[in-house]
Amino acid sequence: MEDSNIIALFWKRDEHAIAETQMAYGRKLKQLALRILKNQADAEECENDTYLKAWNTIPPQSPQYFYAYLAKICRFAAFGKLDAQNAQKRKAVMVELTAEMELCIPSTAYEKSLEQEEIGRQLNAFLAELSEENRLMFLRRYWFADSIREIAQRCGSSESKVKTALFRTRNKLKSYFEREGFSL
Amino acid sequence: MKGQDLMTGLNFVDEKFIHEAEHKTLPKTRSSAWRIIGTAAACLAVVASSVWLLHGAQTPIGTDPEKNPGQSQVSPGDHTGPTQQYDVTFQQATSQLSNDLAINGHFWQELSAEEAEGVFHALAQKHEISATAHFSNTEAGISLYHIESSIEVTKGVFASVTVSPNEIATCYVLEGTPTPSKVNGIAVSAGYFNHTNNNKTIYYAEFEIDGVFYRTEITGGEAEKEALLELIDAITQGGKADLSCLQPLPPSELRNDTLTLQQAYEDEMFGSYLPLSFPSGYSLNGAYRLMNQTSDTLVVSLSEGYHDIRWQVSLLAERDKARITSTQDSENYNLELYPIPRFDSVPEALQEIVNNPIFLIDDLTIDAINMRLDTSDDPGTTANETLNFSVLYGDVLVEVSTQGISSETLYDMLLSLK
Repeated sequence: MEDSNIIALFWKRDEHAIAETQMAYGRKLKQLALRILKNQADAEECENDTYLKAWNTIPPQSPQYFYAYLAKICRFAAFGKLDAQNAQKRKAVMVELTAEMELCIPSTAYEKSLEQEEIGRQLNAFLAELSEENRLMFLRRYWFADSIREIAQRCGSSESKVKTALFRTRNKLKSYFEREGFSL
Repeated sequence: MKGQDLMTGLNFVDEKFIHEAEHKTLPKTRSSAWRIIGTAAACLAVVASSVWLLHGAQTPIGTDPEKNPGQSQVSPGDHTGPTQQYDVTFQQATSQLSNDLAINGHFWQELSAEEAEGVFHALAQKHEISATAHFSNTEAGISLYHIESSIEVTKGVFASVTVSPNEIATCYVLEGTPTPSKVNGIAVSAGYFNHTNNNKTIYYAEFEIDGVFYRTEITGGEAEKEALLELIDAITQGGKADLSCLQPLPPSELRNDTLTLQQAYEDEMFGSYLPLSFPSGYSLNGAYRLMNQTSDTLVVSLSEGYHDIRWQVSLLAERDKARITSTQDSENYNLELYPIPRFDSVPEALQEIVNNPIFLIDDLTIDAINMRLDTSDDPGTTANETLNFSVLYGDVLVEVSTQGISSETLYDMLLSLK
């Protein structure tokens, strides 16, 4: 079913909206949560939380990009669970991705405490400056937690090219933060 | 701030970027059928802008086309009409986004001459137009989804025009803020996209006339772009399409039914091509029976945790025949021969068959299925073995796509149909 039709079901408060959403995006949402949490039960819980949140927010929301809207809810839920867990239990993939992101932070900013929304605003501005290819690779890696191999396949590039591009983008992000003075 | 804060801050990234990252396919270094098969088509846009001028008697103040080759001047299509002047800004698109269309109860029909005149007014008399209306037929009734048309703007040069009572999902999303131009008082958002594969440029424009939505597109160079501007001028001068003139005639057999697994097994035509049983623990994600002017198919999807089975049954179509292979010809299907990315490693002539080969059931072997095993290093899943191919039983085609199912299990399921 087309996204607009599913959204119309939400607006009509038709419970088929959940089933149709699950049919269309359930697997992708589960995988997204699983990549972050590495725990099937938690991932399924995130997926179900996503449907509930969608049901509670549409209406009044009428998302232009339906899957992006759902995925964002799902990622929020997954990170909420991650925060609730002991850091030592975090899985290797998230540790690896988080360590990579550490490299983007200027030393002067390391001690600063920032609101997540403010970080998001800065990241939006940064992403808007990137080339489409670098933006896609960056988001596939750090938003969707894709592997290097998957990104290479999606972009039609070699894995080494993806690694190089991500390395350069991380450096650009660090420079961006430095340039902005990080007066957040 | 720590790395974890950045990872969490990414939650607040704009949905348009997420949508783009999910749907965008980057231009490849060479044209590739594999890419077309493997991913949906795409399109999108970042601004640069060149101003193209559509004008009559006067040149806009401050613009001199001789000094600025990035601008062109075109007279409106109706040369005897009022001398009106337009600045149409084409913003550069750097890639394309996919738009998968799934129309409930979809059927379509060619527009008659009278219908074409109602939709395109005077254009229908001046130009060769071939147009197809796409309808949705549901319990709520028949409704127009959109009209796709091809208009010969100059000899041998065609523009496509989509007309819809609903907003048309753009496949060219601007990274910056769109800057619509005015043509005959109508706000027109225009852009262009350079195909790196073939050095061709697509010019497009989107606009709305009193609740009817339009998207126009043409491929070519300067002359084609100017022809597109003349077409936009003519459409906007002619006023909105009369969509009430369409006379939809749905085909007698049109199905888009959601089924239970039991109903799927009971399907008279294809039910017997489902396996005698699916592995235990699997539950139904969905099953549907689709029948329209081009499709006649039964699809069943099941999963167990992160293991998936998609089983599709249809009649062998003419277009499928090129994908039939003997198991002797392993170059047609052995994925081990082709490292990722496959659009680079698979010879162009083999891309379609390697992507989804068709085996004859009597020729199918466990070794052949093993050669279709593809692995994913998806960090989150344990069910990382995927299988995708088709099997022909007489003139009935069964296409299977699985994740986390062993070759042996799938082989047994396929043999159970013999």
